[in-house]
Amino acid sequence: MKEVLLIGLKALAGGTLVVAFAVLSDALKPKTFAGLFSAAPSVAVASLGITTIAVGTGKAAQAAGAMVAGAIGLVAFCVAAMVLERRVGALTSSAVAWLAWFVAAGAASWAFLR
Amino acid sequence: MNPLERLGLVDASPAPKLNVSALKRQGPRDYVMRFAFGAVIAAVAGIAGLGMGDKMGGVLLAFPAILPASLTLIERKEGRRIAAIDAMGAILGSIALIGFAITASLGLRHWGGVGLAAAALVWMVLASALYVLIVWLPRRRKRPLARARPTST
Repeated sequence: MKEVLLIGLKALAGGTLVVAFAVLSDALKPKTFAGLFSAAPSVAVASLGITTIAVGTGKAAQAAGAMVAGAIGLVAFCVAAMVLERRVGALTSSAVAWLAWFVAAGAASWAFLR
Repeated sequence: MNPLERLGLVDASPAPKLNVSALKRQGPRDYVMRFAFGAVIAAVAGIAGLGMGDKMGGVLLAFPAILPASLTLIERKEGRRIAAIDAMGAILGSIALIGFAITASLGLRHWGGVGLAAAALVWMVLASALYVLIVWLPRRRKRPLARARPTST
């Protein structure tokens, strides 16, 4: 029961922080600077914060260490999305970029987290 | 010419400004959609952490759930070029996210919750520094030349 409550809290806090960063990004000019906030650690801060409070820093630190692999994947996602966006649009470029995330994050996990 | 300019991936002016009136163009649906994406990925990362271990949950904390939603919304309202410029900024933000994760991993072990706050600060500083070094400064250096040209001809 505690786990379900924690996941609900993470979802609520994650969604709220995402909206907060989205508002900030929408209100900033120029677009390159606003784009920084599209990769802000909103879900990570919410999730790691709740894990730290409810479970302890050990588990949160382990998850943060593994997040390095996901962040490497996110760089690959953004590069693929930037290159493809102008040619094929957001939907197709996001689909291909997701594939780039899985490959890069998977490779980084394999290399560093085994 | 700056490679970003050659690709058409720079804005008219690189100086960051707050433009609150731009928020009027966003409807409540846009933010509901982003909230849902954020909530779902936070929940999925939590469930993966429970079922497959903290490492799997950690990797998913950097899953690109919000960016596709943002790119779709920007493309619909401002066009593909502007969406690509946003993605260019997100590359810098995601490089800074690697710094966030490393700092959080070390900081949480040594300083607890303060380590998480330090990691958020590291992300902000790194992302801003990358923007200044890669986007802003190269264009500022170019400006005096651009001004000098008309007087010399």
